[in-house]
Amino acid sequence: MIDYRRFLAARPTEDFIGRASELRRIESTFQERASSPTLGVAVVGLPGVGRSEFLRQAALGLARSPAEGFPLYFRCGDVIRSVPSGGASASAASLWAALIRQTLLQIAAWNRGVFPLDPPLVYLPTIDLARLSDPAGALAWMELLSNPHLLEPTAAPDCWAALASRGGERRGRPPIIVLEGWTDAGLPGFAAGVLADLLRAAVLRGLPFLIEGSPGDVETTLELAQAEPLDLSPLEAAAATELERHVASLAATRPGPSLNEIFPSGLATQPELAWAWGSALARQPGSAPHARRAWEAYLEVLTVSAWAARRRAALNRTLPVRGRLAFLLTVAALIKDAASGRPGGASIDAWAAALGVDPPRAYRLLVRLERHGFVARQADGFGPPALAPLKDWLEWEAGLGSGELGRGTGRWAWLRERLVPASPVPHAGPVGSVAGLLMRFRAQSLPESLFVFERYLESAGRVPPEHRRAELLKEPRTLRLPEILAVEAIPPRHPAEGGAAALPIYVAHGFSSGVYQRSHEAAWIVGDGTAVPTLTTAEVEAFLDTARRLEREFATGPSQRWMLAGEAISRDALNVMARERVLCSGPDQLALLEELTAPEVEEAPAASATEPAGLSPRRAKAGPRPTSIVSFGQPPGLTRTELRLAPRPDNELIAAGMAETIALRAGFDEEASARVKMAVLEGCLNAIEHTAHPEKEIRLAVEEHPDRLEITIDNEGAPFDPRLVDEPDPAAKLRARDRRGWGIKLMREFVDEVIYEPWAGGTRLRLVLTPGRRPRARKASPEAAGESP
Amino acid sequence: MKRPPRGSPSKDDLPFEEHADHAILRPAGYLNALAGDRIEKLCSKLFAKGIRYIIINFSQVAMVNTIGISILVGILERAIAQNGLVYFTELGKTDRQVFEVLNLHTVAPVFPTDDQARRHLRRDQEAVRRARPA
Repeated sequence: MIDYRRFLAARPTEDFIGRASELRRIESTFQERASSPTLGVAVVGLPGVGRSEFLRQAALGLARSPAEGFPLYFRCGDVIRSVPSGGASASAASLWAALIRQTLLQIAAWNRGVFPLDPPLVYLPTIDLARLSDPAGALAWMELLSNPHLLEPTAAPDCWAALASRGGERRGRPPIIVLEGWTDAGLPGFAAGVLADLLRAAVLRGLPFLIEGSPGDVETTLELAQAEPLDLSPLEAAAATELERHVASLAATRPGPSLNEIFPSGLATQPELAWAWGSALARQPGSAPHARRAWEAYLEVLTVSAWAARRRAALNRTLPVRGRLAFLLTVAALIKDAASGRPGGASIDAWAAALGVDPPRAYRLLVRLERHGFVARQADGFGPPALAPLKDWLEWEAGLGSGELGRGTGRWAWLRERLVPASPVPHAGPVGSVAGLLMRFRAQSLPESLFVFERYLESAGRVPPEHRRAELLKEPRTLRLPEILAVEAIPPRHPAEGGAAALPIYVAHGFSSGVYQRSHEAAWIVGDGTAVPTLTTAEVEAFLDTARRLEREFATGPSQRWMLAGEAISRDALNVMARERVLCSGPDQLALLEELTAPEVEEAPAASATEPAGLSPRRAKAGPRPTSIVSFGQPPGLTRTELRLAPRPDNELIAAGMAETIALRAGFDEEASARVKMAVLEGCLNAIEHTAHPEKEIRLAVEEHPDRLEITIDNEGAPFDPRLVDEPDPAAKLRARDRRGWGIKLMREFVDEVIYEPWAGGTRLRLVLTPGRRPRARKASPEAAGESP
Repeated sequence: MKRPPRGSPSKDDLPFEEHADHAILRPAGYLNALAGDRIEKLCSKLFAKGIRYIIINFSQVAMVNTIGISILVGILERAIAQNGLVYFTELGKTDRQVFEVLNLHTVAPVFPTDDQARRHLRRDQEAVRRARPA
């Protein structure tokens, strides 16, 4: 069983926004048909307003509801295209045969009871003859359908109407003839005649109908068939906004090449949907690949779609060749005026002058153009249409005609201008945000070392911070950034157990060299490791895996990969990034990038030739040099000394030695300094043991305050809770299996404060020692005191 | 005996003196997990030979961390289980403080010199001999 809407190729009901009152009106009209003076409803609306989709939704409602009648749905364009080309009469006969075949198949499907659930049956070339009430007549039908040239054109309408009525009799309710595209401007002449006869035959048989058309075409129908008009205006603002949001959410939750997966008929036939999709996504910075595809889909709608072809055909039929370009340029100018707030209409005399005709002729032309929706009547003349897709199409045609759009750059710029909001988001995003920084990429050329970590260390890293910018700007090698148009945030995945931290990822899309063509598309995949204190190969490899996966999903080809680092990067991680050609920037570089890409960049002050303030000879007496870790912290200061260590055994000795040296320097006596040393030794020992990855680092900082010495030991790893460690009892430890657990007690005995707190996904240990403190007295054993037993 | 420089690594071979009824171990440098393991292996061999009294001389030890201490406690437990004991001698000031704050001196005797430790060892041996049933 398959849903009837698949036969209709209708949009899923939950994705059809608005038009609730119009749909109710359709339903009530056919329910109360007996009391209605008219036989049918003509849905009237401007091209692109959504008539066809509305018709499908209405037919769906009729199929579901217990109202009188069941829909026989004809997609006129499809049926006509299925007819082999030939002379007018032969084509007309073939078209009748196709319509009759369609009718037979649908009646059979309804009678089988498989409708509303079995649309593929309808498309089968054979039918169940046994279902027909007249087997003998069925053979005749078969002969006619197989040899349509035998079909008498004058008899065809009656044959068809009789068939449709017979099908209704069997079901106990009449069919409702639904004709989509009945007034399609692109229909060949023979087809228009056939369809008009069909509708006339239906009216004569008293069959209800539901048709669609633009205002000018349906006027004729109204006179002929006494149809009740149903005006389909452009969606109200609230419904239009809801449609945009709904479409954008669909595209966000179901990423794919297009929304064709959701909307079977394809975006190319639904300009209002394509426009809603494009404009909604273009306004959302977080949907870059979908925004690009939205633009492409919308461009397809405006240029090569059937909808655009029908608009072009209608325009060509309405206007002579000499006046077409003039009309397009005039209406495009009026659209621009309306967009800027000026009155968008022009008087008849102005139009006449623009079109090069006298005013009466101009008025007749404008009335015909109004019927096709190309202009809208205003108080003092005619102005541009209200529908956005129509306006865009007119502007596009005008630009093509005038050569203004040209190729590539002009077209993309035009499209971007329409789909990107008029008041664009400022290029400078929130301070400190990765997306904000990326959105500042506007094809600038910046020093390359801002993106190459080791080169930055070599050039500016050795220079005091206040002079780094000037030093960088002297660098001859630059990197040309792309122009980023959209940034999408990819949330981090949960890391595997024991795995590296999952970094947030950003995908930035744009164009390089100011050329907006596929050949110049640029994509940057950025890993935000700024929250990770030490970047290791684990994080870099995870980032590379994600980048490769994203490149496959988006089919963007190789992208530029860029890693943003926190305070430190392991040597191995740097090697991997160099091998994989991943750009890498640390906090200093990012800060300079923010500064250099700000909307208004002030001239950097001239570098001072004097030694920067703050240096003192005592800096030379800083603690031991770090081992095996690349770091670029600030030079040690008078009151704060930092040290970073690899989590390797015995490295705690280095930290302990440094702490003792500083304690002595700070004025603590030898005994107190030795206690500090032991406490730091134990603290580092624990930190090394609990560090998650060998490329991570232990960070030690010793601060000399006037009233105390404060030491912090930071490690990245599983958080440590000292409350889970029992106070060690030597006698109990003798019998215990686990004889560890002495370190915390030792630290508590040797310093004043021992504080554990969470830090950057790991643990921070804070040790505080005040001058003059001595360890608590213990009753020592006589032997230890040196006394003879 | 001159103390080794701070931070010097432990030597690969662990100096010791083996006597009839006791042994004196002289570890050097940083008494960490690695050094503690060496001490433990040597003690295992000595215990297997029937030597139940171990004197560990700290004169060459620069520093001991708590991992090393936990290994020493394990050695002490094995010695006690065999009616033996481990004595610690010539602890430096800081190491002595470590023993004191951790109350290790309540389970492991600490002496200033090896001789004092030997004298106490003889008394312990006599006490054990007397405690044996006739």
